[in-house]
Amino acid sequence: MVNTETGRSTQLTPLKKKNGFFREEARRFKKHRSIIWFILPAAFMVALFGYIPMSGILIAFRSNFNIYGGRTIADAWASGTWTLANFKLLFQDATVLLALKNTLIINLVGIVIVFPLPILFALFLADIKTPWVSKLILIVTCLPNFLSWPIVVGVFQNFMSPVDGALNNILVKLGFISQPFYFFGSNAWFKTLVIFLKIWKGTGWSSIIFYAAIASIDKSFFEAATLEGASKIKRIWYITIPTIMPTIALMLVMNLTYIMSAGFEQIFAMMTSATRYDQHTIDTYLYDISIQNRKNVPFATVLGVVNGLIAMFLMLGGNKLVKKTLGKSLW
Amino acid sequence: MLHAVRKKPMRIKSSPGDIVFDVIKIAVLALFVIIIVFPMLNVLSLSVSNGVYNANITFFPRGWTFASLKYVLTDSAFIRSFLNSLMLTVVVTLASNIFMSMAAYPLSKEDCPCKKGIMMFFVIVMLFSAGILPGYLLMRALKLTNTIWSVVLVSITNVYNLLLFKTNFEGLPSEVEEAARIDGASSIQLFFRIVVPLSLPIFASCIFFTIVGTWNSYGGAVMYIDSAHAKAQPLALYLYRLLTSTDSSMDSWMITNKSNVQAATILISLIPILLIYPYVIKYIKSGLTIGSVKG
Repeated sequence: MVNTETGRSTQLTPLKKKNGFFREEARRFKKHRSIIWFILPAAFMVALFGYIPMSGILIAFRSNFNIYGGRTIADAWASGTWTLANFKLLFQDATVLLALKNTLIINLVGIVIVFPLPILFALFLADIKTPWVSKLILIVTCLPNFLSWPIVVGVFQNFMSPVDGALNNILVKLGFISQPFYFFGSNAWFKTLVIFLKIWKGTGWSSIIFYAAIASIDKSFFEAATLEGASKIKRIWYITIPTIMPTIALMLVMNLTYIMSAGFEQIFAMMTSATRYDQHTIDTYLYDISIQNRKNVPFATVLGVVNGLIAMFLMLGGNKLVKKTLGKSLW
Repeated sequence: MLHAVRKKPMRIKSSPGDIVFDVIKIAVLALFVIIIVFPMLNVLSLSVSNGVYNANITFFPRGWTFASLKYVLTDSAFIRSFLNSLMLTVVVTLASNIFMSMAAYPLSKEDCPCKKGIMMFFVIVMLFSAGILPGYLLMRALKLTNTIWSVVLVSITNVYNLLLFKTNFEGLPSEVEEAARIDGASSIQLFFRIVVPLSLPIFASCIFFTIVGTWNSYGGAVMYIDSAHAKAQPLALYLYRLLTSTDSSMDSWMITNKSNVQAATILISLIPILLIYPYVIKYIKSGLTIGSVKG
């Protein structure tokens, strides 16, 4: 790029083709040598906590790995023999299948119910013509997004507690139920609560991006449509929705990208002793066999690695899709 | 406000469909606000109520008392985890944003040497992790398990923020930097005195989300800090363990006031979030004004 005002070359001048690759790189390095070291602190952290653990993949191919006695990743070379049996176990372990089923159910129901709600919310909110009212609603409904999962779960465990919980008190007084019900201890209610808490925590904050997209639509479209006698629903259907469609598509792809994770912090905080074993998701089961009940360390590594690979391919695929359809890149 | 009222589309005639839409709109929004607010009111009233009235507390306090709040504020385990979280959040926020923005700066140059390779080096870590166990083994080899430093160190890398910084720096005018160079500024001075002040909005946003994320997250802590080393745990993990505990070794006051103490704990641990919440409000407001300018 050449700065047209000063005529001075500010950045990369056109590559001199006779220069080899290394000479060009050396020239660039020389030019930026005073700032190139800025990368080092971040690179050090990434190398240490991002790349070194990747060598732990080795453990996935060992017949056994004794985690006790202060063994490190390097000990993987010396414990047990090389094997692929741990990968076979992936298809035989009943809890993996259960966890996969739970994860997919939560996320698919989430995409059908949790995902459209912020859009609906934004559509309604954008139709409020008094600015301070819509602002106030946003300020209140965004707050839950900034509470940690233990707090959200704690709030509702108190609220729905079978002992003196406000919800049970109301329901009993109104005669809907005869006895207090322990919602968080019930397997039948678990996924409903998971979905409900996702809605409670995220809807307000997620609606902001749609709200901003709606707010940036040229108002004269709506005025013209109103003069033509289009009803509100028609205006939304024919003007708002098509305009915010790229935002909706982008958000949908991002949601699909995370389909293998139901959110460790939420599910883990919601599990009670009564629901612990039936409600495992991939994340929580991975935690369970990696940290809590380390019965088979190579298998825990296999599950972690395979889960990581699937997540990576989902992200790469999602990014490709977004790039192709919207011309944007997620990174 | 007046302006907004005037701008209301001319009321030609509200069709029946519009009226139905308005009714559903108001009903849905009101219901949602109620669903958000009521459980919070419940926590608020529990925290200042006497436990003997818990069976009758819904949204208003009964038997007004500060005993639960006082109990939490003098509970050494709570204070310790609160301070742990404070330390964790401050260190992670500073280190993460300084390291990530610094790394993003050379990468924002179009002719950064080995740019593609270095970018890949960072992005791969964002896309793929080898799972929990290898990370745990590394942390144990470094003798950092059961200390807050394990959580500090794994939280510093944030490639997503690095990419945000990089995109932002790419848009900076190069003339200012050149002028500073000619004035003899060192590269560090150039970065902290010229580049950072020119990029305050992106720094504010990244810092804000680092603070919220670090304060609220317990996923890292629950992996590296076991319940036998409660002294090292951050507040979010303390809350998790408190709210899910089925501890039976409680005195009679604690048995009656368990919900109240939990509510008080929740309330106090919210303070830092409420302190930075005005930033969210500002963010919401600026979002609205951007919309109205365009509209």
